[in-house]
Amino acid sequence: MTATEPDRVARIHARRVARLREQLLDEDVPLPLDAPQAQVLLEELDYASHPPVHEDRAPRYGSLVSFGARPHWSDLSVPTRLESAGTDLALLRKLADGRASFVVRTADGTAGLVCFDQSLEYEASAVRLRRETGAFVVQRTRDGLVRACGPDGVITWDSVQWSFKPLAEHHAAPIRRLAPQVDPDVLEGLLELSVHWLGAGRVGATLVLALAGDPRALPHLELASAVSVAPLHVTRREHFPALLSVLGQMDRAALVAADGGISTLGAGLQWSERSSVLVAPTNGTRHTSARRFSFDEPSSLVIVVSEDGPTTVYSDGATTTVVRTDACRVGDIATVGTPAIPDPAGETDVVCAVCRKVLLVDAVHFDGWAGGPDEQRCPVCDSVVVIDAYRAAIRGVRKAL
Amino acid sequence: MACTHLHDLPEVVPDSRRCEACIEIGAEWAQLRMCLLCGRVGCCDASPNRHAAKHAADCGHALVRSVEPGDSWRWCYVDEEYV
Repeated sequence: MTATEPDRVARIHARRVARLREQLLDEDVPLPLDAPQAQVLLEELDYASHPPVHEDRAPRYGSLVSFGARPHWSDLSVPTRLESAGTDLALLRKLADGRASFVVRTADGTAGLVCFDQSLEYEASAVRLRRETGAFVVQRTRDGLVRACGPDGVITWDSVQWSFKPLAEHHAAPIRRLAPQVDPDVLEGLLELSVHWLGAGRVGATLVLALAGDPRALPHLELASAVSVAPLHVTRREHFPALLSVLGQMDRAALVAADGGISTLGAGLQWSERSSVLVAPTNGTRHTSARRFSFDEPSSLVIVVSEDGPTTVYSDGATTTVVRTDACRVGDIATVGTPAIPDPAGETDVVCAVCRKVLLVDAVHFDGWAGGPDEQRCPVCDSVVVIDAYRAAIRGVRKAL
Repeated sequence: MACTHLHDLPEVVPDSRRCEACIEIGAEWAQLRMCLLCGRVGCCDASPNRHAAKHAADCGHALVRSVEPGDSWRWCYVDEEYV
């Protein structure tokens, strides 16, 4: 190696990181690229994308990038922590397999290594690690997928495109707005299980959450072939592997009680003739039955996880939310980072004249607006709903308390 | 620093419930903003053509509000802050 070789390598590396930044900006990837500490995150994404190849093999890799002074170590059970100021970063990186060992990089330039006694390879683990450390979790998986889990969601590079999936927790608020009686911990656990365990693992499933009482008492259930299990709980993460396993091997629905307990699997969903007439078929049998069942069972929420990943929540015959991975250039990510300043004055209820469901509407009014009322489609029966406002959006069906 | 453009705002009414500039060129938009000085409605900065920001730059009208249902926030293009 000549005396100038390190400089040349450093220049090439710097140019590659700069190109990565431009690419992320061009593709609207929701990362804080203008933050002062963004350079460290870019360096880690670049390394995960271009790890040194050894004997024709690109290794796994993982790092935690903290934008604060230190990750929240006190909340973690970390058997091994190595402070390694002054240690060669290239060597540290070779120790980090992205499953149980991670380089730690902080905004002040220090680096270290943490080693866990369990694998944190999967998306669900990365989401929890991010939550507990407050750090970005950057990983290169066995399949060569580059993944960064941050406060907005999970960003992935599959060698073709950047994609984004929002964190499940961000979808709890709009659901609770429609169904305020749902227990927040139960809803958060259900969404985490559905989005980051079942969906990420490509396990199709249907979960029926009863908002009160015994879920087996819901009239439109068919329980002839249902089975009982020892109670598992959606608020206990240690139960998630068992739920992932059993739901991956059974059809039909799992019943979730209002307190989050699951003790019945294999329940069939039925619906009325009126529901068949008013609620159109949706994305195949599993979704159609879930949506029509939810129309007839207003004291429930029905969550459907598709085998190809998306999670859909149905309530009162309407689609309440969909959590899915979108390519960044075409995904609906324009609202990431938009401040959510509620405007209570604009909230109103409108009853659909056809299906009679009570619709929660956000509306904007202007005195003097002469353009006539707004027209929207009912999210349940698709009939036209006329709303006396400049502009209006139907958020879903409001559940009665 | 507090925005200095808030004084003497007139009562305005939106001139449309669409981005007419996008309609003219066959473009699509993500969200709509309304100029608080003249009521001109244009598309947001997440839209391909950013007509609200162009209107602000062309006319010197600094303030917009979101006219998305449920939103009531206002933004100053000059001071680059919510007001």
